[in-house]
Amino acid sequence: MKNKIFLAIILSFPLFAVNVFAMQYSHSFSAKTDCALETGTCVKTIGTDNVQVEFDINPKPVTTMSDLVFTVTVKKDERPVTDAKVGLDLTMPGMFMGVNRHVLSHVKDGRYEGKGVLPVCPHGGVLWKAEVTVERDGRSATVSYIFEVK
Amino acid sequence: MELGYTLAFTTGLLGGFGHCIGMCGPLVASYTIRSSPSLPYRSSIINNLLPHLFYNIGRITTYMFIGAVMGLAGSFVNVAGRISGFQNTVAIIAGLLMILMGLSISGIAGGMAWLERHNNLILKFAKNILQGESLWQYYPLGALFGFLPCGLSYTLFMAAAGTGSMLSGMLTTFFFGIGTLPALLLFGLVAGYLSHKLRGLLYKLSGIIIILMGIYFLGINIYAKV
Repeated sequence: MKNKIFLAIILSFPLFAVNVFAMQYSHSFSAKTDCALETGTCVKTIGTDNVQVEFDINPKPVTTMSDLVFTVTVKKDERPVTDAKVGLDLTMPGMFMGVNRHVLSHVKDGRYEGKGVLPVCPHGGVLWKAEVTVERDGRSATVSYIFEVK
Repeated sequence: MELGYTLAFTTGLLGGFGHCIGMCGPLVASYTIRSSPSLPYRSSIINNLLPHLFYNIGRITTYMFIGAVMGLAGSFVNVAGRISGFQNTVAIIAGLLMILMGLSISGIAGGMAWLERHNNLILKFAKNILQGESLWQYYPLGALFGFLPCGLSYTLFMAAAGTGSMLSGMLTTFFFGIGTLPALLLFGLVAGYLSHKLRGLLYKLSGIIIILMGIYFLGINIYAKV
């Protein structure tokens, strides 16, 4: 009886370790940060049209479970694009967290804004992916940003 | 059916197989494995399903309650902030129950005999959950664990808050809960079947893994509180 319990204890550790490792670190392996929002905005260029898409979240530091403002600024050849449809899809790499999608409204000079919340991952995942879709003249393009939250 | 409800149901269906089994699987496995050998009424699939059905109806009741409150308040952040302390406490209770169930399964500390010597309310509740043979015990268990902090359900609570209506908020989370049913029922059935097949060392092994998962569960939630 005691031997069985002892053997079970020994055998259980690697299985437990694999389980926890999968829960804790699956996020980290499936994606790497490419947007440091804590130090400023992130700019990427989409397509061959030289359209620049700048992404930002406020207030900073970006935290989960709080009201956030998502800002996307669209420029083409340094000129603001004011007639685009801009959508934002928020997902967590490596973990399905439901559909967190927003349509951003044009505010001023090519700046589009929307409000939302990033839910906390109880298992410690801090990486999020924002996919910004810019639709204009019947064409659409998507650019993604992977960032960290507190 | 409104598009929002269809989306909530689909989210539950997809999330159930990916998210819920990974996150809540150890919890479901712990109450399934612990109770499997002691319950005599499990001779058919329906009878095997009943405890899980009661557990999940309890869980969905809690989702509906939170969805209704979110819809009424119209703000996710405010309500979530108010209930976060309670949710963390539930997570800690879940961790403790998993440890107790693991101790019972593995035979460490003489099973549940020491619980007999204690009579406070929490231990009475734990004893009832761990040793009772009534199907009804699974309903409050599910209702309590429906409050567990969960990223996927938070997204649905946000959607419920976004409806700005108590009824719509409640229905959003109801359809989400219904969507998660197939995965969790199937997982419960498989865990129950395996626990009948597990003998000796493997049975004890599963008990110790449940203890470790309980400690892990407890650890991350105590860490989240400080």
